[in-house]
Amino acid sequence: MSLRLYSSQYFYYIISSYCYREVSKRNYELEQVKFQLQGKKVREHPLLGGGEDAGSAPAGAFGQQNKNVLYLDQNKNVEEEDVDGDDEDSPKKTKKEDKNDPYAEYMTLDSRPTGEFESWEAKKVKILAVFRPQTENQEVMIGDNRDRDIDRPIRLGKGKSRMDQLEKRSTTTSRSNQGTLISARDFTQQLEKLNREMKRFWEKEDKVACMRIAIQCAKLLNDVETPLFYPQKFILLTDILDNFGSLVFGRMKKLTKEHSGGKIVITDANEDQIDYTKIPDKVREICMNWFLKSACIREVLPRIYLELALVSCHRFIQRRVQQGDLIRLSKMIRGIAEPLCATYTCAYLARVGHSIDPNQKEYLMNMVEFAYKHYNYAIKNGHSKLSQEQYFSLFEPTIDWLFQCVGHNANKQTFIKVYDMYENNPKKAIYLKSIIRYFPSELIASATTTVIGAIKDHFISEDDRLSLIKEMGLTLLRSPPKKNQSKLDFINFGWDQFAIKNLNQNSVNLFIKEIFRKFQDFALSTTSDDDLFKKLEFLLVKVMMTAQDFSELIGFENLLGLLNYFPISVKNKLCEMMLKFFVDHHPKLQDGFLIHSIFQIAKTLHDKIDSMSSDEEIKRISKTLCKIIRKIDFGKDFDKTLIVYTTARGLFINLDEVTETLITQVVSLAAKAHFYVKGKHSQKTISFVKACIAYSHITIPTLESMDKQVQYFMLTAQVGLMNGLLGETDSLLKGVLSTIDENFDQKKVNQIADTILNILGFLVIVPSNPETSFFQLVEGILSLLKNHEWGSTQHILKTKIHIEIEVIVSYSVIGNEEFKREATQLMDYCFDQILESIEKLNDVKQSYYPELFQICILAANTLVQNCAISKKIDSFVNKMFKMADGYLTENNKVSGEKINRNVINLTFENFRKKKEVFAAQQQNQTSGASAQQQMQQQPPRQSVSQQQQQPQMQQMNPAQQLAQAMKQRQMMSS
Amino acid sequence: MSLEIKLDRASKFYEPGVIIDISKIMLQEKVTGYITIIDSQSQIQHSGIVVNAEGYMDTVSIIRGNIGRPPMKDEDRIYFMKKKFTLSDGGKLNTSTPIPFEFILEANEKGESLIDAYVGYEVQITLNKGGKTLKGNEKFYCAVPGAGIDTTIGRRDMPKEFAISPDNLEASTLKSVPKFKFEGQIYSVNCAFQEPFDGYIITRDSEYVIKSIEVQLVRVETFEGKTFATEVQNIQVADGDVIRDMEIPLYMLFPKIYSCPTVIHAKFSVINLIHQRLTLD
Repeated sequence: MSLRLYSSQYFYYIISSYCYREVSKRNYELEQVKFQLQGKKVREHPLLGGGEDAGSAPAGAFGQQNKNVLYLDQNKNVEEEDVDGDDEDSPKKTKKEDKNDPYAEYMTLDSRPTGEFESWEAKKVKILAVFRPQTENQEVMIGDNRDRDIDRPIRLGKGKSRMDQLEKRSTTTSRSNQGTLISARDFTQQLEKLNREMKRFWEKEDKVACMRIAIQCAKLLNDVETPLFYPQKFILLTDILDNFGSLVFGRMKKLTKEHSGGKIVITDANEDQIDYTKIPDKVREICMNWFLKSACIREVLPRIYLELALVSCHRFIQRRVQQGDLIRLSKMIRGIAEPLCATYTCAYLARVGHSIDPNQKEYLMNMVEFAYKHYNYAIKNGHSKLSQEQYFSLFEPTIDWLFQCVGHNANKQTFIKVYDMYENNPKKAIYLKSIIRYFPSELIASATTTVIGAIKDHFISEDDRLSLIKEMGLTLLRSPPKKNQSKLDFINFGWDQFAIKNLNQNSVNLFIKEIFRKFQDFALSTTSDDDLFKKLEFLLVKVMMTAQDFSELIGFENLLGLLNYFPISVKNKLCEMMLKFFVDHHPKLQDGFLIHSIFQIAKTLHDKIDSMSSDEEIKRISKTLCKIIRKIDFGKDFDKTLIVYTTARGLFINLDEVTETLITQVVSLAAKAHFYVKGKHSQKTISFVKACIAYSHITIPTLESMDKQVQYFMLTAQVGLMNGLLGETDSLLKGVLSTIDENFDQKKVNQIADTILNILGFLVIVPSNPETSFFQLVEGILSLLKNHEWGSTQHILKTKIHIEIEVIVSYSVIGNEEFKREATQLMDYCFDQILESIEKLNDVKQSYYPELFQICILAANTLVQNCAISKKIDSFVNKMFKMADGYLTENNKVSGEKINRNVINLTFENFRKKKEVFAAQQQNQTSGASAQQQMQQQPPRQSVSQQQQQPQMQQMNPAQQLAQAMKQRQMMSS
Repeated sequence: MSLEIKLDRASKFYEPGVIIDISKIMLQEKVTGYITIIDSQSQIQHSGIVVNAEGYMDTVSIIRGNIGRPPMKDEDRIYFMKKKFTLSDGGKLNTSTPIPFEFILEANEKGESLIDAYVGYEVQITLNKGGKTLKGNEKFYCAVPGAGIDTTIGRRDMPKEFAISPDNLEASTLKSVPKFKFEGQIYSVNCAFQEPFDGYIITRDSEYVIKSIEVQLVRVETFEGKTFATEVQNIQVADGDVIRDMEIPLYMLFPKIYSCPTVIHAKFSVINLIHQRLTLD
C-alpha cells in the first residue's frame, strides 16, 4: 500500500488543538512520586565464591541474624523456599560457630518474605543460585545463524563483529552445524569482558561501537541453543544492556548540563523533579537520534531490548513512556515466537516498566496473558533436549517476576483477572504460588477459601501442596483473614495435609491452642513420622522464640502433653531449649501455675539424666535449673517460696548442684527473714525459720560430696544461730561431725582439721546447747580425734585442735559451776593429749624436731595468752619452753632448716610480762582491798587455773604421773 | 590554505519560513554560519568571497554510489533555490577570525518551493585570491514544514484495514498456494513524518509455519518517466511461528535521513510505500 508521508512541524503543533487528537499531558505528580526499591545485602553469592560458612553478622542473643540477610544453600537444586516447613515471624538465623551446639540446626530456618517488592538485584542472585550449578560444567552453544542485518545500518563501525571475536577466543573450537561450542564459564567471562569493553569504548567516545555491542548482546538473547544457560545469559546480557542504558542516560545528563549553560543539572536526587520541558532542544534531538537508531534495527527482539534499555532517556524527549508505549511494547513482544525468548523479554519489560511506573498494570496483564500461552505451549510440547520439569523450570524466574510486578499493590480487579487466567490455563504450582505471594495479602486473605479450594483441587503432589500452603501461610501472616471460618478452613486443610505451616503468632493465642489440640488428635492417630516431628519441633522452637508472652505459652495445657508425643531425645532437646529460652527472657517467676508448668518441663529434663549422661550435659541442665530456681521470687511471701523449694527438691533430687542451690536459697530465706524482722522474731517467723533450717538439715545429707555437706551444715548452723535456734544449730553441728566421722579420709586430713578448727571457732559463741552437756560438741570432736587415724601430721593437727578447744573453753565467760567444771575437765584432757603427742613424737625425735618444737611452742603460747599464771602453769610453761629450746637446738644441729628462735623469744617475753603482772597482782591481792575486785576481774582465769591446779594435783592418775615422770627423765637425758 | 564552512546549527537542519497567518507574515529562516580560512600565514590578501547557496534535485544518491545515474549537469538540475551573493569584495583578512555569512532559506526560483531533502542542500563558498580560487562546501538539510501534505487530506488519519490471504495475492509463483490468513489495520496511511507508523496485524491462520513478518518501507522515485524503488528499511515484526489470534503491532519510526516526505513535483516525484512481507517456512 502506498503511504503518504508529510512532514509536520509547526502546523502540527499549532493545529493540534483543533484536531481530535490530543497531545497527552505529562503527569507531573506521578512523576514526582518516588519508588524505593529495596535492595538486599547479600553476604554470600555464587559469583563471589563465598563458602557456606561465609560471613555471619553479629548474632543476637539467640543467634538471631539481621533480617535482610539471604542465606543461600548451594546444595539445593530447587528454589530456596521449599526447604523447611515452618515459618514464623522470626528473622533468619545462620549457623552458630559452635558445631557442638545442639541447637545449631534451629538456626538455619528461612526468613519469610515481607510484603515488599523484591528487587531485581535480589532475584538475580536467587536465579543464579538455582541455575548456575546446573550449567557449571556444561558447554554452551552459540547459534551460528547470523543474518545480514547484523551490522546493517551500523556497519560503519570498525572492527569485527563480536561474534567473530567470540569465536576466535573460544577454547573449544569445535564447530558443529548449529554453532560453536564454548564452556559456560568462558562464555560468562567473555560477556563480562564485553561489558568492560563497552565501558572503554564509551570513554573513548566511540558510541557507535557501544551501540553495536548493545545490539549484539540483544541478538545473543535470540539464541536458545542451550536452554539451560538461558537464564544466566539473560542476567548477564541484561546487565550489559542496563549498563548501556545508564551510559546513554549519563550522557544525556551531561549534555543537558552543557547545553543549558550549567543551569540544569540532573542528579540522582532530583531526577524526578526536574522539569523536562526545559531541556534544551539540542539534547532532545540527540536523544531522539538514539531512539531512531534503535528503532531501525531489523529484528524484533533486539529492537525491543534496545528500546527498553534506553527507556530511561525517554523523559528527555518529552515523552514519558506512556501507557501507550508500554502497552505497545508488550504487544510487540508477541512477535517473538520462541517461548523462552518471549517470556524473558516480558520479564525485562516488566522490570523496566516497574522502574518507571509501578502502577500500570494493563501492559502487565497483556504480558501475563501472552506468557501463559507460551507456558502452555512449553508444557505441551516440551523441549527436545530437556525433560519437561527442567524445561519448565527455566521459565520459573519469569513467572515469578511477572507475577510480582502484576501483583504488587494490585487492586481487586487485577487480582480477579489474573486469578481467572490462572483458572483457565493448565495448572502449575508456581502460578498459584506467585499469585499468593505477590498480590497484596489482604486480597489473598479475603479469598482464602477459594485459594484453599484451588490448592486442594488442582494439585496432587505433596511438594506442590506443601509449598503452596506455606506460601499461603506466609501471606496470611501479613494480614490475617478476618473471618475465623477461613482461618479454620485453612487450619483444617493444613492439618489434613500433614502440614503444620500456619501459625498466627500475634493475634490469637487461641490459634496456637487449637493447633496443639489438633495436633494431639492427629498424633494419636498416626504413627510417628520423624520428618513430621522435625517440623513440629521447629514449629515449637519458633513459637517459643517469638511468643510475646512466653509464660502464657508454657501454660497451655496441651503443650506439655504435646511434648510427650515426641521421641525422647527430641523431647529433651525441646525442653531444654524452652527452659533456656525462658530463663534468658523472664525476670521473675511468680505465677504458681507457670512455675508448675516449668517444673514439669524441668522434670522431664531432669529425669533423663542418668549414669550415661555426659558431664557436660549434666552441668548444662543443672545450670539451667539453677537459674530457674533463682528466679522464683514471691517477694515477701516466704512461705510460698519455701513450699515451692520443697517441691523442687523433690523433683530434682538427682542433681546435686540444684540441691545445693535450693539449700542456699532456703538458708538465705531464713537470713532474709531475720533481716526483715530486724532480729526480733515472732512466733510465726521463728517457726518459719525453723522450717527453713529443718529443710536444710534434711536436704544436706542427700548431697554426695562430703565437703559440700560440711560446708552447708556450717552455713545452716550459722544462720540458725543467727536466728537464735540453738537446738537446731547443735544438731547441725553434730551432723557435721557425724559426717566427718563417717567419711573420714586420711588424705583429707588437713582439710578436716581446718573444718574442725572452723567449727571450733564457731563454737566460741556458744559451745553447746545448755540443755545437754556443755561441751558435747567438743567432746564429739575429741572422740573424733581419738577414733581415727590422722596420718603423719596427726600430732600437729591434734595439738592444734586441742589448743583451740582450750581457747574456747577459756573464753567461756558465762557459766556456772557445772560449766566451769566441765570446762576444766576438758582442758585437762586436752593437755594430756598434748603431752601424749609429745611423748609419741619424742620416740622418733629425729624426724620431728620441727613438729615437736611447734607443739611445745603452741602449747606454751596458748597457756601464756589465755591462762592466768599460777605455779603449776608456770612450771608447765617453763618446761615447755625448755623442751622447745632443746628441740630447736637439736634441730638446728642436724637438719638444714633452721628453726627460728623468734617465736620462743616472743612467747617468753609475753610469759615474763604476764608473770610480772601476776606478781603485781598478787601483791595487790595481799593488800586486800582490791583483791576481791581483781579476783572478780579475773575470776574465770584464776578460778580455772586454780581448779586446774587442783585437779592436776589431785587427779593425777597413774598414767599421767607416769607420763610426767617419763617426760622429766627424758628431758634430763637429752 | 583551505577554507572551511561551519554552520551555526549543529544538526544542520533548517526550516524555511512558513506562512502562519492570513496576512502572510513570513518567518524567515536564516542559515547562518562562519567561514574560516586556515593558513599558515596570519593574514592573507584576497580579492573576493562569494557565497553560493543552492537547492536542487539531483539524481545521485550517496548510498548508491556508482550504481545510480551520474550527477546531472548544472543546467539540467531542477533548482528550487539559487542564491549567490558577495560577502566581501576583497582586501585583507585575518586567518584567525571567522567571517560570518547568512542567507535566507527560501525558494527563489520561480514556481518552485523548497522540498525536504534527504541528501541535502548545499552551500558553496568561493574565495578568490589573486588568480586562485578557494572553495568550500557544506551541505545542510532542509525540512519543510508541511511538506508532502496532500491538501485534500490534510492531516487526517486515514485508517486502512487489510487482509492477506491467498485470494488477495496478485500473482503466485508457487503452484500450490498454502492456506493462510492475516488481518490487520493501519491506523493511518496519512502519516506525519515525525510520528511513528502504527498498526497491527493478526495471524488468524497459517498452514505453514511462519518464519517472519516484516514491514518494509520503500521509496519510489519517478523521474523522466522511469521509476526506481528502493528499500529504505525493513523492520521485522514477528520472528518465528507466532501465536495465533494475537495482535502484533506494526510500529515503525521513519528514519531521518534516508527517507523524506512524499514529494510530487512536476518533473519528479518521490512516494513511499509500505510492504508487508510474510515469510513462511
